[in-house]
Amino acid sequence: MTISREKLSPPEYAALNSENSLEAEFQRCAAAWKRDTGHLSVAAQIAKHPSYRRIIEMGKPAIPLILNDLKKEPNHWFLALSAISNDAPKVAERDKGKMKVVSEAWIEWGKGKGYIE
Amino acid sequence: MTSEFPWLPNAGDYRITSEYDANYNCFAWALGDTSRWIDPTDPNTWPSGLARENTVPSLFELFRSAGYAPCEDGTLQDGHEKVVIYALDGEPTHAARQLDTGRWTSKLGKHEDIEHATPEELQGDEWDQYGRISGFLSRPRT
Repeated sequence: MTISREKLSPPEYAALNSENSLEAEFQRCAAAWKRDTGHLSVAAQIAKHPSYRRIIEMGKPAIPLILNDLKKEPNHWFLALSAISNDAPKVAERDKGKMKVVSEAWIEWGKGKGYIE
Repeated sequence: MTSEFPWLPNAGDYRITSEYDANYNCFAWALGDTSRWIDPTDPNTWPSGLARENTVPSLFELFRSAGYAPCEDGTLQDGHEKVVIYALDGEPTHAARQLDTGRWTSKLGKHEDIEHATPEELQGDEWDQYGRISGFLSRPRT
């Protein structure tokens, strides 16, 4: 849906600009992080990338952006999601390490918490 | 031959042996498992029965649980399968498994598997590299 900026009040316009700017920064950071760490196997090392740390610093507004990215492709967002939310979904022992299943658990968690639809 | 992987500047004698696959990583591949990711820093991927610490001993315990025992080096030994563990600043980063030819196989994170001549050629000291060889383990080849 395209929003006509002429119809927005100044606070709404500022909020939209801020959201767009956060999303743009998230996309830039996510692309750099994926490009530079795809060969690594340990989340703690993967999370040392400055762009990943920047995404964690964004706080809760980053959660829907991360979850929407997870919907497209399983990825190592779990550490960031846990760090921001101080929460985590329960994953059955048999499913541990199964990236699609763990990603799906986080997506369901996000739906339950109202971060995404 | 120059490595096409910038994070492996010393990898010379290697070949790519699989497609890109984000579903398993080096530790799982060293154990012969292509269905999951295993990571001592992620509780969603680490077996519950094992202590979870971002340390080399923690990785050794993972391999001990699969029948491996520490060994001296990566020399090819008849009837034995060996793995090598890498660490950077004391934290585990990577593992590779020896093939019965004496060459080694590594899964590069989410990227491809490669077959390489020696464990040494994957070493590197930058934050986004695999560090140095930290130890070898061995088990009877089945």
